[in-house]
Amino acid sequence: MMEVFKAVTCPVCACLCDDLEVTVDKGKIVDVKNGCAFSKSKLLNYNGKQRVLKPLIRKGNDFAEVSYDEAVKQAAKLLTEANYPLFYGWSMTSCEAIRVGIELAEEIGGVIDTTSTICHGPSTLGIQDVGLVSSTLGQVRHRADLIIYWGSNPLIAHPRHMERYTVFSKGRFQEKRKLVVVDVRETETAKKADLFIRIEPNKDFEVLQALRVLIRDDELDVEKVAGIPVATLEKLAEMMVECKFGALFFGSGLTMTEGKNRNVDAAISLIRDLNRITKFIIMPMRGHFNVTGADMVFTWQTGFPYAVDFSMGYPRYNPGETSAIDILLRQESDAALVVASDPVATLPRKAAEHLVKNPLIVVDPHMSATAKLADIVLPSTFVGIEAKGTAYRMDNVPLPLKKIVEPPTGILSDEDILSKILFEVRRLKENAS
Amino acid sequence: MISLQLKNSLKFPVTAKCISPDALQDKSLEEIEKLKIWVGNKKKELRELFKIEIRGSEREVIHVYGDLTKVRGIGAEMTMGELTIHGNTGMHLGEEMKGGKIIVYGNTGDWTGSMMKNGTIEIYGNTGNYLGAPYRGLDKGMSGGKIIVHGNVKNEAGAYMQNGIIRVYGSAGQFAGLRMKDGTIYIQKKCGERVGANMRGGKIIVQGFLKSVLPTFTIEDLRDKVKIENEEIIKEPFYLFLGDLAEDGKGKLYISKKKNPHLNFYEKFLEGEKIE
Amino acid sequence: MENVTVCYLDEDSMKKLGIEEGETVRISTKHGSTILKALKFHGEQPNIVFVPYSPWINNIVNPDTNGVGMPSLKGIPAEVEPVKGGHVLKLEELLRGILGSRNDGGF
Repeated sequence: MMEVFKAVTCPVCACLCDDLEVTVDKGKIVDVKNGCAFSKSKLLNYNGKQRVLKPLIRKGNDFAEVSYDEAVKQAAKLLTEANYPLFYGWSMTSCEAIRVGIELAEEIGGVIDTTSTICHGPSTLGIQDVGLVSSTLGQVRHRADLIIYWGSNPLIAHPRHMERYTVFSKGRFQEKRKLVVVDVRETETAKKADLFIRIEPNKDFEVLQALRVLIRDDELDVEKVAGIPVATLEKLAEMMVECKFGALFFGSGLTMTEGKNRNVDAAISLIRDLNRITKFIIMPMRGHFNVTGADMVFTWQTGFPYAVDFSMGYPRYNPGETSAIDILLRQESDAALVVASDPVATLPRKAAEHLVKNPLIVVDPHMSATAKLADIVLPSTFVGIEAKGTAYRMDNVPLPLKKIVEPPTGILSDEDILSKILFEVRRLKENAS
Repeated sequence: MISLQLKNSLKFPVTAKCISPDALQDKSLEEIEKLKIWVGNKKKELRELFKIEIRGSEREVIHVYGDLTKVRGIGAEMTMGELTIHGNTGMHLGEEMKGGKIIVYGNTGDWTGSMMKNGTIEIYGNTGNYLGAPYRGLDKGMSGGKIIVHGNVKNEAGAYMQNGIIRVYGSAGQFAGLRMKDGTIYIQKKCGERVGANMRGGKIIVQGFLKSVLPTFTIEDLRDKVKIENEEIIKEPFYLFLGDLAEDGKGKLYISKKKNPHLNFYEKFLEGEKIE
Repeated sequence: MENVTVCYLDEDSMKKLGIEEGETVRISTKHGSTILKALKFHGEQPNIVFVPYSPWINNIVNPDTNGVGMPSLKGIPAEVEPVKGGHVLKLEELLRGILGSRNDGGF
C-alpha cells in the first residue's frame, strides 16, 4: 500500500527543507517530491550495500559480528579505562541523541566536540567576541532586498537556499532583490549575481575591514584591496548602505582561510556598523543537518557550544586547547567514540592517524571510512528516515525529524545505543567503587 | 629553593596551577608531594609526576626540570617570587599573573601570560598563539607587566592588550596587537600580516619585514627614530601609521623603512601634505 | 566516490600547465601531495585549483589550527603538475595508508 508523507523535514543540510513529500511503498521509499538532488539521493539510496546490519568487533584484519550487548559492554570498558577519551561527531543525529552523548562524556570525563570544530567553529569564536545581528530565514525571505553570499556557494552546497529564502523566493513584502557574491572563484552562484567581486585568496579580512571604512564615506590610502579597485568596493558599500534590509550569508570561505575567526569577526563588525545606517543581518551557512542543534544542546547542557572538556569533572571550553583536531594533533587522546560523522574522511591526515591509532568506537548507520578502521562498530538508524527526533535549522529554528519507514530488524537509534553505553559505564563505575 | 624534577614523559594534559610560589611557599615537603593534580581525567598526587626537593630557606624560588609541554597553567595567578623552568612548558603559563618573575629556558604554549596584570615573563625559546591575550569572549588582555620572548611568537600576540609591554626578538605571526587599547608591542624580526587589526590605541613597533599594512591604516609620518620604553631608542627611519580606521582607532604602528622598501609608495601621501 | 577524486582548473591554468581535461595531475603543498584527475572549471578561477573535500586531500591541507581549533582547509599555496597516467588511489589503499602506523596493523 502506497503512503504519502507530507511536510517531511529533509535530513541532509542545515536548510532543513520541511516541505518534502515522500512516498512509501511496502516499507520502502519510492518517491521524493520537492527535495534537491542531495535530498533525493539520500532518501532513495540510504539503505545501500554499505549499510551495517550487525554490531561488529575487530578481530585482527576482520570484523566479527556480535550482539549489541557484547559491543556495548566492550565499548563501555574501553571508554571507562581511557584517560583522555574524545567524543566526536554529532552533526548528523538528533538533539535527543546529542543530549545522551554529552551525559556520557561527562560521566566518563572526556572531551566532546562536534564537526563545528572543522566547519563553523571559527564563526562561533567570532560571535563570542563581537556578538551577532541575525534573524530567521523567514524574515530574510519576506523582507530582504539585498542578499550577499560571501565565501559560500549555495547553488552547489545548499541547493534550495536561494529558492526558499533569498533571490529566487517571493516574499510577502519583497519580491525582487539584488544578489552580490564575493568569492575567490566564479562559482555557479557567482554567475547569477548582479555584482560579483572576485578577491584574492586569504584576503577576505582586508576587504571586510576596508568596507567598514567605506560605508562611512571615509577614504583609504590604497588604490586596491585584495586585487579589487577601491571604486568597486565603494559600489558594494553603496549598495549595502542604500538597501532597506540586507542579509549577508557566509560560508567556509571565511572560516577555513587565513584569518578564520577574525574574518568572521570582521564580517560581523561590518554588519554591526551597517545597522547604524540601515537594517542588515548576518548568518553562517551551516553544513550538516543538525550541526546547529549540536551547538544548541551543548550550550544548554554545558554552557558552551562545542569543544567541551569534562576531564576535570566540570565543563571547560577553549577551542585550540579543548578542540578535537588540536587534541589529535598533540596526540593526547587515548580512545574515541565517533557518532554520526566520518572524521577519517574529513580531518587532516595527521589527526586521523592518531584517531585510528587508539581504540576507536563508531556509531553509524553505514560503513564509513572511519567505521572501516574502527575497533567496534555499532550500527544505528537514520534519524529523519527511520527514527524521529529534533534538529535545528541554520537560523536556530527547531524542526521535527520524522520517522517515515521502519529500520532494518533489530537496528537501534543513536539515542538508544548511547543510552545503553551510558548505563553500562555507570554499572562498571559502580562495580569499581 | 623548591625543585621539581619531572619523572616520566607525559602523554595526557596535566593542569598544575599549584606549581607557583604562592601555592608552595607555606607548605611542607609532604604537603607539596600530596597536592592533587589532574592527569587527563585521573586525579594524581604531585609526587607521582615529580621528584620534589626543598633546599635552603628561599621558599619563593622554584625550579622545574623536564619537558612540561603537556603541563598547563604553571605560575597562574602568581603574585611574587621566582619560577624558573628548565625545559618547555604547556599552555596558560603565568595566566593572570600579578607579580614575580617567570623564566623559561625552552618553549611555551598558547596563552602564555594570558590576561597578565603585572610581573615579568622571559622566554628564551619560542611561544605559541595568543601571547598575553584574554580568554574567549573577554575583551581585556594583558593589562600590565612585561613579556620578553627571545624566539618567535605565533598569532595574536598582545590581542586586546590594555597596558604593559611585549618584546619579541624573533618573528611574529598574524594579528599581533589585535584590538589592543594601550601598551607597547615590539617585534624585532619579520611580522605577519594584519598587525594592529582593529587596534584603538597603543603602539606597535616592527623593526623587521612586514608584507603589507592593512588598508584601514593611514600613513601619518616618517620618523627618524622610535622609543621602545624608558630611554631605549631605535635610531633608524620608521613609517608611522595610524589606525585601525575600521574602529576609529588611534593606534600607532611604526614600521621600519629600511626593511620595507615596498611600502615606500605611502611616502607620496606625506609629500602631498608638505605641498599643502 | 568517483566525484571526489577530481580537481578543477580553469582553461587558462590548464593551458599554462599543459594539462588535458581528464588527465591525472599531482597537487603538492608544504604538507604532502596527492594525485587526482583534472577537470575543467567553466568560470574565472585564475591560478586556483579547486578540490572537493575528501580523504584524498587530507594529507595536503594545513593541519595547523593557529590555536583556533580549525585547520586551514582552503587558500593553501599549492603546485599542480601533469602526471601522465598517474595512479589515483583507491579508498582501500588510502585507508591502509592511514592505518599503517597502528600497532596491530589490523585491516
